[in-house]
Amino acid sequence: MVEKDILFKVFRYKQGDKKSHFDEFTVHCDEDTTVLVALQYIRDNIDSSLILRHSCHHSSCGVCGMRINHRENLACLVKVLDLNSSKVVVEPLQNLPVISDLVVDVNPFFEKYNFSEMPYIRESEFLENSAVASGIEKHTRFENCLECGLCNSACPIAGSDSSYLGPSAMAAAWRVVNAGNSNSKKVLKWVDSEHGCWRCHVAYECSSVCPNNVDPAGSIMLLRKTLLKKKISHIFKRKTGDA
Amino acid sequence: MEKQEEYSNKMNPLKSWFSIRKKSFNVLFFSINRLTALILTGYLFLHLVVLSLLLQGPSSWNQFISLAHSPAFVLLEIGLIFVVLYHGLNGIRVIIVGTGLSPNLKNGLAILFGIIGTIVFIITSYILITY
Repeated sequence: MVEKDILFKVFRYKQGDKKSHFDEFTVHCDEDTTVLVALQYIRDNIDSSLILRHSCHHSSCGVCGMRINHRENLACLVKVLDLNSSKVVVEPLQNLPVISDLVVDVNPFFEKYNFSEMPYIRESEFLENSAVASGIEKHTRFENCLECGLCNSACPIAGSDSSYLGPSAMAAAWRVVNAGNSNSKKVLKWVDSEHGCWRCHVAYECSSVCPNNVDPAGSIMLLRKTLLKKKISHIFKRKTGDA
Repeated sequence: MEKQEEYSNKMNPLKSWFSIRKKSFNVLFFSINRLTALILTGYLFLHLVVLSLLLQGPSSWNQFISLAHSPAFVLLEIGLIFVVLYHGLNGIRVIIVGTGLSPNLKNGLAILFGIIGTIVFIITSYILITY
């Protein structure tokens, strides 16, 4: 088994600090050591003041999202030696306020979902019997969303427009529209704004970093297509009505 | 209780638009598009300044025209052709992809417009240099 000493350069910030800085730690890693395990080692054995957020260790909860070597990823998914680098730079997600070290305040992220009639939480389709509900396949990709926030961190527009709804909320919006729910019209109206789906500039980085292949950028394009069809058909209907 | 200063590592827009380290090609296309947009905006103002030389009479204008034939100016014009071609062709790609018409063609369109742009750039640059 390959083993190496890896230098970790970890972002540090505590409430009240005027500036952030990086601390360096050396961790002995083997082929199975993930970035999350290495960070836990640092906290348990070198610096107990290091703050990070984690839970499941198998990419189900999505809370260990961070920037690893300048790219958004889940720390539990990334094996240190797979990075092929003797130095690993670890930073918190971008575009959200840092609470401490690698932990960001996710409230602004979830507030983007705060559309009054959006079925953010819905009833399970699997409780009554174990059979998969018919037609569920088309929702699979959205259901994979961990709400980890990697897409919002990677999006160049989210970095320049704090009012932008963001890729994840619009992927959720597309799921509502695609399902044909009774409130899909209201959701379409919600995303049809300069801070909504029209703000995206097709950089596709949200889909590129998504750990579960949800393809939020693809959802945004489908929202636009739906809106465009509606707008064009509205123009022709109005012209027909005028005639 | 003293209110604690909230630290935010929110990026500034320019840094956000031009951070291409470890990013995909689509981010590179996006960044170059922003850069060319800024250059074209600057060029628009420069163009108006140059045109305003006409108000100062024929001698000012003739002086500018002689400058416009210098090799350095021709190089700048070749650069401008690249900027216009890139921004225009990538803009068409973004319209086709970004309206949801063909989101799956984003990479294919980038290759297609890249080839078209390169051919047009070489031809127009040749004409400019040999004119």
